[in-house]
Amino acid sequence: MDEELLRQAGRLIQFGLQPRLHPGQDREYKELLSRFRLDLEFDETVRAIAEGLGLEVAATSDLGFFLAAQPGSVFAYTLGTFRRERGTAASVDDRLLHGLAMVAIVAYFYPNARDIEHAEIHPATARDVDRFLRGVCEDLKRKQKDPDVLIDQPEFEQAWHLYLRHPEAVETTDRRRAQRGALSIFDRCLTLLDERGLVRAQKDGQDVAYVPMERMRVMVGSVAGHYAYETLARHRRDQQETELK
Amino acid sequence: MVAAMSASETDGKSVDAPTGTPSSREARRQRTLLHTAPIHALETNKAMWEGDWEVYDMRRLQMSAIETTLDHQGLEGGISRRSLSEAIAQVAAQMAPDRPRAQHLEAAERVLSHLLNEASGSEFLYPYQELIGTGFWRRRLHSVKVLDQRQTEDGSLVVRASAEAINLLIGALDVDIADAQKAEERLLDQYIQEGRFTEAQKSAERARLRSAQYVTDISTFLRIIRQDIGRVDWSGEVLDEIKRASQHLEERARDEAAMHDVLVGKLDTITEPDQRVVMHDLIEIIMGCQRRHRGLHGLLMRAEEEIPAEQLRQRFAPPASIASISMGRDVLDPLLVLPRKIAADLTAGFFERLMGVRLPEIIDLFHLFDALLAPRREFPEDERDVEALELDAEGVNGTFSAEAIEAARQILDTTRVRSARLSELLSQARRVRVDRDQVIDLVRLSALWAYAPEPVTRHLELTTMPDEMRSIRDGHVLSDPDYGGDDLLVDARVAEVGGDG
Repeated sequence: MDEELLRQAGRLIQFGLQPRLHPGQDREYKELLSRFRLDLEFDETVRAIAEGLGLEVAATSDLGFFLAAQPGSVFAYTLGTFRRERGTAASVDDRLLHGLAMVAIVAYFYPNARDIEHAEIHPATARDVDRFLRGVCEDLKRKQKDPDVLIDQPEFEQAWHLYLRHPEAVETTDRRRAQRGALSIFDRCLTLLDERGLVRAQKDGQDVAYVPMERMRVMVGSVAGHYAYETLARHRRDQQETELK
Repeated sequence: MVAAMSASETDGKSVDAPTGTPSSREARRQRTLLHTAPIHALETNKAMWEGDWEVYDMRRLQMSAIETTLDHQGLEGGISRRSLSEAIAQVAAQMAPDRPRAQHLEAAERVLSHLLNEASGSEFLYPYQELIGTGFWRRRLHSVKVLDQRQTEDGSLVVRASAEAINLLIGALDVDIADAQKAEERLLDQYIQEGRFTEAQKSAERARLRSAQYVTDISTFLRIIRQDIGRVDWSGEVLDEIKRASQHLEERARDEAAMHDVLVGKLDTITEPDQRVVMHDLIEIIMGCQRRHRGLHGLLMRAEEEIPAEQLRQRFAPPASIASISMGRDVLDPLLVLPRKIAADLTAGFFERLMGVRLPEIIDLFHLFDALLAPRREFPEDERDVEALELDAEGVNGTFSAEAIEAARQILDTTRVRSARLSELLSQARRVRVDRDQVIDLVRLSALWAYAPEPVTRHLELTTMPDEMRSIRDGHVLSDPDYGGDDLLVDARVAEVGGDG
């Protein structure tokens, strides 16, 4: 049993758990990352230990060693936890709105496949994304003939409808954004993304602009994107099956 | 091959299905002409902005933005957006020294935002016609990149100029960069040999730009490969390209070393100060090129080693590649029409996978401090009614009633006859039946006032105490159920100073 190998594998995993650390900032990190990419035995050891911890290697590049927690893992950070940690009693609607905001932020940064491929970097403010999402939702509203939900069937309300119902910004007397409005939802999501090294704040002031980091591109292009794609495909199949019956 | 590589990398995707990159010379020239379009666009647009921007030459500002970026563009380096903005603002300041700095900064921001395509949907896309086959025209869409932002290994973001942007500085048509570089350096060598140093200077400058262009080109190529190493075509073309680039650099290294030696040799023979300055400049430029090329050569050698190893690895463990997924069309759109519950589950799953891992809780002073200063938990938003306080209008006696004033006066008047301790006066005040608290307050405050009286215009009807009343502090301590401090000796007797205590 090569203890040194195991120890180094553990070190690399530790580095991977620090989302705001970059290989260029730490020599050991850079070396271990390089070893992972070139040494098959090391690669397998790391992956095995990671799997034991409930982690998987999402991707690796010069810009980082990117880990993802498997669902149910102690390392998983859920939407529910996010909402509980940051204040309100997390209702289903509250979680849905924040989750939707996250998808919208990612879609704003990488609308097309090409943007992910080419690692395009364009800034976004909370206002930009809200405007974008609102536009898409308004579009859907126009296309739908009967948008209002039946009173006794609230579960059929579609996500876009829920979003449009939510006030955009609630002005407080001192002109800060109140806690409830859509813009504050985006503020919170972007702040979280910044803390986790998925975006970075570029400008100061009320309307902070954020740019996507490689971490976001990688997580979207690997685990998160795949999951969304497959879940939606499955849903479509299920729907088609029920329709055929 | 390298030129074609850069053209296809920056060509973007055509509007119609690509059946091969256009190889005709005319199409290439068309595209090269389009590279200047973004530069002109901003100058034209400024007429539509609010305010007077006439004095700023937007073309010049954009070119200096590219030049400044290039100065900092080593191998994977670049310049931070903030520094670049500052540099452009300084140029703007030279154009309009009497304008406020805020305007210089705004001009710089407009330039950067334009060149970086920061506004949504503001990519530089230009349609053009391509002639294919015999007389058949097809419309294509060419995408131009001037500057873009990249993340570096240490997590910082830097602005870099594209190879086409460098072409804007050189002002040459789209040619094979390696060939152009070789040609330029040969020319430079010739000028140096012939002693034509003015021409040499101009040529050296172009050689410097060509060198930067080549380095940008190849390092972009390497970056693309490393980024998604799982999706690169392994037919051997990539390795061939790397080998060719290595050879080119080795050749450059030899030529540059020779030029360097010649220049150093000539420096010994030239005494004229002006000429010596020129020589020094030339040597500097060549050394810059040498440094740049050495660095790039290093990168290439590393790639040469790692890529075959990576190739071998993939036979056993194919890596998770970055899939091209259209987040807009394939995820957001379908998500929005999902019913609530299903949408909630989907977004929760997406969130978790996007976040990756939970941040480990680091307990240290800084984090503890942050946690303590964290904004308070949000409370439910019901507006609580603020009680509107009913305030009575203040009377002429403040809040004191006439009875209280009268009672206090009576108590304090006794000090005209004999001195009294505060404790005694207070106990008398406590025996009062009407507005007792007010009387206590009045007695107490009057005694305090009398300790250090200030000259003030007095209304006789308000006086609760005799004019001559004074309080003396002689060390006795007040023992009183409600108040502490000194048991002042209050005396309103006239004339006798230093009376009994």
